[in-house]
Amino acid sequence: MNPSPPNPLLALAQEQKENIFIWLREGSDHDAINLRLHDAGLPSATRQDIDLFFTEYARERWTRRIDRAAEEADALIALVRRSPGQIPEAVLAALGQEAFRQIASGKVESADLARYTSLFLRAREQDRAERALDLQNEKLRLARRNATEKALDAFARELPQNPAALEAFQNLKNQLLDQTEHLEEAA
Amino acid sequence: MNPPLAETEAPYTDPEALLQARVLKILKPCLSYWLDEQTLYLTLNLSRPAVTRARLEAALRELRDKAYLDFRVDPLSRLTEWRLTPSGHALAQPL
Repeated sequence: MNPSPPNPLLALAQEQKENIFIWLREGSDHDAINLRLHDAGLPSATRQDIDLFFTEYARERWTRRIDRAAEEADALIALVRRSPGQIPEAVLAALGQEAFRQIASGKVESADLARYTSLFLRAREQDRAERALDLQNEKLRLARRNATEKALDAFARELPQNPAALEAFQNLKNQLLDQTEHLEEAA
Repeated sequence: MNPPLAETEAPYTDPEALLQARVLKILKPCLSYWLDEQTLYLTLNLSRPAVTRARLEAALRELRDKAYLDFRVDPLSRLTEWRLTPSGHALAQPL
């Protein structure tokens, strides 16, 4: 008996196999798969080739997922650990376990998980930068206020013995009162 | 000359010992992470011979009693989760 020819789908590049697997999982039938293979410039396949491919590739994919879940979870922890700010080890361990669970059970692709984590870390970093800027502005405002208070205190101490300072004070007082009146009118 | 054994073919004649070896082999790359019983069950049944839930539970219990496995219950899913102990890792090394 002649041995059956090798399945052409199983000989394709990894990315192409992954695409065909996803098409099949989405429910594409034999004709739809062959149309897509044709569009991608790939040789057509028989119904048996496609059925066999799905069974074999699904098994291989699942096994690979379990084999790599721990590595992917470790990589995710390393990514979070490299981000600025201290994250408690217990939180990192819980994150790693959850990432492992999601990848191993097939609920999430590791690449998607890494992408979500990067987005979360970027948002967290931006939030931290905004908070730091707010803090810096607040410190600047307080420093200005302190400087103004010190200057006014010094000015007040000079007033009794310095007629020029007294006059300047009166002018400043009038100016401030005028400004207040204008503000009230505008309001 | 006999043909070499396929990589996945373990030299076990006892089906329960073979099942335990398959469990150890699946848990080996999980390192210190916990693998839940449902994923373990699905993974075992990707290839023949098929495994029932009762047989899997018996195999897990036996491996736990021999201190090759640790287990815990996930508070959210209520599923048992398993991982190899250091002696389990040593036992699974050649698999």
